[in-house]
Amino acid sequence: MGTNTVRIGWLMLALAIVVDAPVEVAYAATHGGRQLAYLDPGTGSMVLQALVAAVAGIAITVNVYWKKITSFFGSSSDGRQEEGSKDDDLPND
Amino acid sequence: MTEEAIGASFRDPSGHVYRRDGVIYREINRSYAPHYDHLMSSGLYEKLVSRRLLVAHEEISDRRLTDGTPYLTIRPEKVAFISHPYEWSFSQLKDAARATLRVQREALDFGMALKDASAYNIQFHEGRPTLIDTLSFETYEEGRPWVAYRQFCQHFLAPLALMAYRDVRLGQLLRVHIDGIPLDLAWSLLPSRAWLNLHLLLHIRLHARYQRRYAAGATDVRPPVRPVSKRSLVNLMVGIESAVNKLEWKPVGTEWAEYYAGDSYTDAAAEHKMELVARHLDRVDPDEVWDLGANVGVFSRIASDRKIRTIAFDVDPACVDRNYRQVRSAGETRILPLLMDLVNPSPAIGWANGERSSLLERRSADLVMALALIHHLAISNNVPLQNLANFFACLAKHLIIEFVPKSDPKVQALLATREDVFPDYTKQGFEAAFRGPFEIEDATPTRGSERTLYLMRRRAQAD
Repeated sequence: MGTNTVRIGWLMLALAIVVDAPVEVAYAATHGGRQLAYLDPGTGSMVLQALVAAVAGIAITVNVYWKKITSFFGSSSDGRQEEGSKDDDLPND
Repeated sequence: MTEEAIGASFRDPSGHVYRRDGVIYREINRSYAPHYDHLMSSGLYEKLVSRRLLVAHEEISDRRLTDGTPYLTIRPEKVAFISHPYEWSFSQLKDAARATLRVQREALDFGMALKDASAYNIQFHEGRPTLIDTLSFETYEEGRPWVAYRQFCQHFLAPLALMAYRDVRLGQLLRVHIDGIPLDLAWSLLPSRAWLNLHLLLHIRLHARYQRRYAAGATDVRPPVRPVSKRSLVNLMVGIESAVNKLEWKPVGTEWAEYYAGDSYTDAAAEHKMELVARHLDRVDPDEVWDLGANVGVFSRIASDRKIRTIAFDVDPACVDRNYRQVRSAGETRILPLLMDLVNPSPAIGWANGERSSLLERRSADLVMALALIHHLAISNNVPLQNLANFFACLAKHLIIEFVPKSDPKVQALLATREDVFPDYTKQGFEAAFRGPFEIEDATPTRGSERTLYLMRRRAQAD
């Protein structure tokens, strides 16, 4: 499958995020009254999750459409597990 | 009746673990009652236990309704041996990570979430990675981010990434960092090709940057914690799962993983040695065997095939990984491969040296096997034979040990580039040293080699 194509898409996304985090700046400006003041070292982890979840959502969508496109053109799947499959192969289920 | 608190459980406000007469109990505090009751009544507990993702337990008291008393006491099913994440091979740590994520996804389906994602909460129970901390769940509130995300990344993703991308030995950083590998450290050790992995960019690099930005100290800034919808949270879990699944490491190319394919044994000698080991095991009939220097577990399986609980220790990550893969593919339940450097075994770590016990504190075998091992300890590592005898005597009552003489090609190879400063390393010297703590019950030369296989029993006064 066109792993490279997907990877390029992801890279562009990654660059957008990594250059800096404009999403977060925008959010800080519009942030409402909800206060969740975690002051432990885990704060950054909590703040980051909305962003990471959004990227994961986009990646999943891209993957789904990519699979649709490749199956439309008749190329077979490369046998990789579908992401998000819950029943994967932990030791002999 | 003695009651003893278990070292690692003091942090959890939900309850604590103690041992009474050798049995582990878990006491649940009142504050945790709603979460526990949800776990039990929602169907999540049954689902996880039936899929062998969570250790089963029995409630051994009624629910107490008076204030100031613990809510409930439970007795979890016994886990034979507690191992630590730095004693696992790559595939073991990866399967433990995947088990954690599966538990979390099941929990979300039942309106709960994991509040901890500590690797220490997973144990290999009858061959499978199983969550042993029944109090890890909390009822899920819509919008709440995953509180255990940081811990998951530090305990699982960072070490797996380092092992897959840089060097499998970096898993040992977990022994230094008890709460997982700091993400900034992990990123600084990853090679530049990690930039091509979006998962690692997000969960490690960006994560480390966010941690620094919101670290304690910058308290004047109200942290912009956005609510994460359940759908987004599931997406996040799928993303993390995919991050873990894509990390691969192949156990090839080390000296030991190819040992049996090499020239070490003639077939006749190996066969005879197997016969002798089997005969000795049948004679002693132990409950638990520790095979030290087990390689990929060929001899360990002589024990585990006899329904004896067996731990197969080896210093080589590739051997342990290959051994574990075999356990996994064959569904073996009685053998646990673990990574262990016998000349520097796991120490006691954590608060007051009491959180994670040392190897010796966890000794539980009736019989120790040390096959093709003694020359590595005595010659490569200069451990005197008397110290070796005392060490084995401290581990178990019975010992199956192979003496490998200097004339053996393997010992010749060890001595080829160094001065022979081991005048006592002879069969006579070996027997004299081991006769201190042990009685020799059997000594049989292995056919087709110059080696001798011994069965020994610890002397009564040494018990």
